[in-house]
Amino acid sequence: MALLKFKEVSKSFGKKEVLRNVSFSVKKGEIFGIIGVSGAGKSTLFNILMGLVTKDAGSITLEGKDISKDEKNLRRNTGFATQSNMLFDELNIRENGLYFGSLYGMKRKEVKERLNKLLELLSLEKAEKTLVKNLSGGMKKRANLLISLIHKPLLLLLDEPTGGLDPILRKVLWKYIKEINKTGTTVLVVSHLIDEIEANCDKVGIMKNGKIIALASPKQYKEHYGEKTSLEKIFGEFMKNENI
Amino acid sequence: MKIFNIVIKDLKIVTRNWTYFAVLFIFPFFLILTSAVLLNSNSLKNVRVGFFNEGDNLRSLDNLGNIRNYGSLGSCLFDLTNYRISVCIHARNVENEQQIDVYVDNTKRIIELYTKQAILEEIFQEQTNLLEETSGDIDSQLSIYSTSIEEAQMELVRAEKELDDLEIKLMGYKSNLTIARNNFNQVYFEVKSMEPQIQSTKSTILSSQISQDQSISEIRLDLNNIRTDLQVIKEFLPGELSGGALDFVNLNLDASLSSLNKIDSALSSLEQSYPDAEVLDLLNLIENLITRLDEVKNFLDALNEDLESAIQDTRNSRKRVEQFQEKLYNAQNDLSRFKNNNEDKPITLNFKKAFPVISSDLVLISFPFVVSIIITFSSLVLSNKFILNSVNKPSHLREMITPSKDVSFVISDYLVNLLFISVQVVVLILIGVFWLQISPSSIPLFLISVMIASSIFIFLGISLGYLIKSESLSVLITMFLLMFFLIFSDILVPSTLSGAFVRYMINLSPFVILNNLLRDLIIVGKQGSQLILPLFRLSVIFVSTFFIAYLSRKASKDNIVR
Repeated sequence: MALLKFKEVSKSFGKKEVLRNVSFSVKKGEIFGIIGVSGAGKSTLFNILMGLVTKDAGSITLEGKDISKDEKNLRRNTGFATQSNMLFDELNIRENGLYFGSLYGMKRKEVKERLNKLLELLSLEKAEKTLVKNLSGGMKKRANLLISLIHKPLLLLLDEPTGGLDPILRKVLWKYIKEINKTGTTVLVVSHLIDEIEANCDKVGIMKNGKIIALASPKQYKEHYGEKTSLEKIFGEFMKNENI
Repeated sequence: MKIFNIVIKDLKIVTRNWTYFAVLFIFPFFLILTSAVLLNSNSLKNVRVGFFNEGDNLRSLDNLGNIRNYGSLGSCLFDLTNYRISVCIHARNVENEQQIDVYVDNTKRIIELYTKQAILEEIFQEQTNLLEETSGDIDSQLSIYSTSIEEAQMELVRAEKELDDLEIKLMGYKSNLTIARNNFNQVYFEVKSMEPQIQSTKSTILSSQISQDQSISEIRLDLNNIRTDLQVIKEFLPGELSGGALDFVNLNLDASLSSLNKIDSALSSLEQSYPDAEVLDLLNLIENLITRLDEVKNFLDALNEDLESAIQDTRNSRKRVEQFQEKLYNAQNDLSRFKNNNEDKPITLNFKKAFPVISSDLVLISFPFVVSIIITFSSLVLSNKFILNSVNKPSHLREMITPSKDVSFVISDYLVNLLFISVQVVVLILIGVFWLQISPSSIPLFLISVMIASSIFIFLGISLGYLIKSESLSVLITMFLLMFFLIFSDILVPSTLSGAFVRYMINLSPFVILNNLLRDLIIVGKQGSQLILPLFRLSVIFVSTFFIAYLSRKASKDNIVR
């Protein structure tokens, strides 16, 4: 069943068409990756999902409900994390968690319970009272993920989640993302690191000039383009082809 | 070389951000324009001068421009202490001296000094000129009036003399008339006393005449009967008698008839020659005479009354002339006195304080102003920096995508800033109470005023923080806004000298309202009920700036996307 459904969504800024009839579905429980060059429209797509930008045409449904008619429902059911640390450096992880939990209208007890689970899930129990500014890079990323999940979102939006991390820490972070996914949270991730997407996503969409030009699982891409052809190479071919 | 490269780099950064240019160009231009508007509208004519004139020489101050005349010193001072006017001038005569008391607002030291040194010197220079001009005019006018009065007096003396002559003549006429009337009355009443007797005599004569006429008629009737009888006999006799007898008898009868005719003639003569007819005519004549005498008497009486009335009128006229002469005499005296006063009276000019002196401590007097500057500066800058710190962090984006309402963030940010400002306010109150001996009873209103004003500046700082994410640009604009508040107040030029519109706009500035409010509270010692209007104004601005901050927060979402 599709948790998120884009149907012919378009968006323009002035004369520039940023999204052109974008259509795709994200199934419940899957990790959906989107790759594309800069300016392909990925950020606009995310901004629409965060309620910061309104679409010009088309429809987007979350759990079958039109997000433009119920913005609060969208915000309650989506979590968002970027490569930047979206936390208050002067607060510790717990304090950040309690604060953002309250902004989502959660009761304090509920937040605490959720916080404990997430701390355990993301192995941050020992660092819960450390100020964010004193955390290591990897821990900051995990703390960022924790806060994005504090309100039990159905859909987690990740924009370059491993940006700025070394390869080892990236692998560790993906391990946690998968752990999160196992708890039932659907993940929509945007990244330039195509190998990560290929390795971790159930389905991958390739964006070019505001359109999804290809949509398949990594396995299906390989079946179509050859077992030994990497997704990065396939992506490169798509970008070179001016007819697409 | 390094310095050069750094400078070039900095210049490129600055010039490629047009908003810097806009701010650096527009804001100084705007501030200078504001100053120019203030200074250009600055005129002595704009000073609202209240004038209560009890003297007799200082007739008008119309040349000074914005003059409002008052019927009492109390109403003039009331308006001065409620800032409806800037100066209250009380002109009066004290003994042989003309005294001019000038009441000025002594709560604003700068304005007071400025008013004393610049405005009032100018005003009274003009007033002196005016007085000199007025004195010359009055002198020449007085001479004209004096001449006119003298001429009028002479005319009145002549008129009085003519009235005297007229009265004497009338009195002579009256005297003659009285003699004539007395003489007349003597005759008249004698004749008048005969009137009943004449009536009676006339009646008697008339009645005897009637009786005589009846007797004659009866005789004549008998005569006619005899004549008839004799005629019958005469006609009868020829049948009975003849000849001589007949002739004889006829002859006798004719003789008898002739005698009868003679008797009849005699009776007629008697009738015609009635002895009392002349008397009767005479009596009728006398009666006519009495009627004429009545008319003459009535005429004489009326003439006497008219003469009396004419004499009385003449006397009244003379009395009025005398009264008018007296008035003219008094007027001439007044004119002379006024002329002397105008020439001789010295003018004394006193500056007085509109408010009873609370303290001469300059620190206390400038305390409201210092508090206003501190509150304005700290509230604007603190809130602006606070919001800038917040919105320039990625965590702000996370806050924006939560389902929380914008108003919650605005109120929270405001409360935090207000908390910080409160600490400062407490320090200011402690300084005020323990160092400057401010009355503790004024603390609640002080607190309310400062908190409302501080809230306004916090909301403005928040708005700028939300709207302009660039820290340096936002701080720069905040500083310009702060400068604007300072320039657009009494600091550059006293607002009392500004035009009505500029003054109105200045009085809408929250900085000016706060400054005036604290001054009224601390220096003047006004009570709560007298401060309702500025508090209401601050509250309206408070609500308005809250909405501005809320809308700025909404608008800041677009900034995040960019």
